[in-house]
Amino acid sequence: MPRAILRRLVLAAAVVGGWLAAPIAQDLALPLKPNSVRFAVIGDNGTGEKAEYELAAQMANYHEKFPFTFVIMNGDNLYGGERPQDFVNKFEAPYKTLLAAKVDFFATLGNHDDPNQRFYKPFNMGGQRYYTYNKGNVRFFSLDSNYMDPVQLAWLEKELKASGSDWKIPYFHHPLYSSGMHGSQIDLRNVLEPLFIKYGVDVVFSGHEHFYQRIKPQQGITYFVSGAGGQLRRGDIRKADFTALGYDQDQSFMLVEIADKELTFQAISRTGQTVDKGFIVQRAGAEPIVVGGSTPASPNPLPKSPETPAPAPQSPAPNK
Amino acid sequence: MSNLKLSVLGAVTVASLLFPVIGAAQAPAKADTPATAEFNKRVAAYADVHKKADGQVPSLKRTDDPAEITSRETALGNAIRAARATAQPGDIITRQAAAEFRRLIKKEYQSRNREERKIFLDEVPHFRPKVNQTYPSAWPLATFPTPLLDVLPKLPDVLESSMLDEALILRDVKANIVVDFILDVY
Repeated sequence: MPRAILRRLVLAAAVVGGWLAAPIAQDLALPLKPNSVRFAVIGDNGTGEKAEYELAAQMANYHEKFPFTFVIMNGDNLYGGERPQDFVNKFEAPYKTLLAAKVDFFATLGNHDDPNQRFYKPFNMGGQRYYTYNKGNVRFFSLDSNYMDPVQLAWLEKELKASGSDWKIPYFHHPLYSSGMHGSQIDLRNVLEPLFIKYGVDVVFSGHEHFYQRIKPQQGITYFVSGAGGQLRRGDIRKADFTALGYDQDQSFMLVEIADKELTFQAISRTGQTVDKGFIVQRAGAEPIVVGGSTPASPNPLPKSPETPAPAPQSPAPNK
Repeated sequence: MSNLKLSVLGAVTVASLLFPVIGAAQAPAKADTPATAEFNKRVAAYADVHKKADGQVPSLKRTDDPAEITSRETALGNAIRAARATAQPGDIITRQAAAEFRRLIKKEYQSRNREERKIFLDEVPHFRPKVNQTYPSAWPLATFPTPLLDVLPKLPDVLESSMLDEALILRDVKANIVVDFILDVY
């Protein structure tokens, strides 16, 4: 074997070996400030399969270190059926520990969800397809992105306008920016983004794509895709200029803490590895300060974000 | 050029600028066209059928018991099916309304570039619809293209439009059944 090829093979083995042998970080990267708003984010979770249960167990582990009081669900809460046993196998059983700990779940409807889920009390939708609620200094807006008709848009504008909360956080199933199989939902972006900009939204959460992706601030708004709560489309993150960081190698969820003007986030894989972390400082008419660090394990060649000053990674980051 | 000619030219220019705007403002609303007016009438009649059927089954309140939700949905679907046992395609979306909807949908679809068409077709289900069938749980609901919601007639809360592969269906949201459909829409 030619020496050059041998050298490349050894180098490749060392890189892969180092990647595989990277320590599994189970550290909490959230400040746990007094009176902060603490929540978790999942999406596309309702498969009822082993991976959903394992991720839910990891969420319960982290709940002991970071006692979040609620979870926002980015849709596709129940795949493949809405029989009573589906509610049990795909929601009540996997999240049993969290439900027993009185953690509330606030669902949004995905394209695999029957709108009658809004009557299921544990989803806290109040019988509505779209709704809003307050947590501390944060107002959440759970939208139905399956059917964004003028009535819902008018409602959203009225609620955004009326909200005096420091933080306004919409979440819904279909992402306005993503570089996965489905892609950015431009129709929705055309009608939603102007409202988000007009009324000072800083952060948006979506699912639909079965991975984790953090988008570089777009017109001042940081978008997250968190759609690997049960499903996973490994290797699906394609190259896009708007990507700050992506992770598509395992199921994942997010933890978020909001204290005053600062939002801290941590994305965690099924095995407990921290795949992204950072904080967002609420903007005051200017671009937000977003600081993200990561230990992603994705072979996808994602662009390096000039706006994202990433600290030294704790393990090889092959996607950068 | 004489003052008279200048005045006439000015008046014509002003008129040509104003009339399209006035014309657009005075154009009949979609609901005022005979096809959509008839469609709206039939939709209202369906909403009455739904309301009556809704009164025949236990009322649905927020519940911890998913069995209540699913059994209620099934019961409502059965009550509507019984009330519309002879329903046929075109009973609500008349031939004239279907032609109008096809025109609007095709126009919207054809105005899209490749990427936008991909979004239009994202996870569009591929089953052949039948009136009164329960929407198959194996298929997702395709996100309805937002621009079409601006041009198609507004529906009551119990109904919504949904796209299938080359079909538009009207779906009863609470009963989860197909109440009418048209094919070859884009």
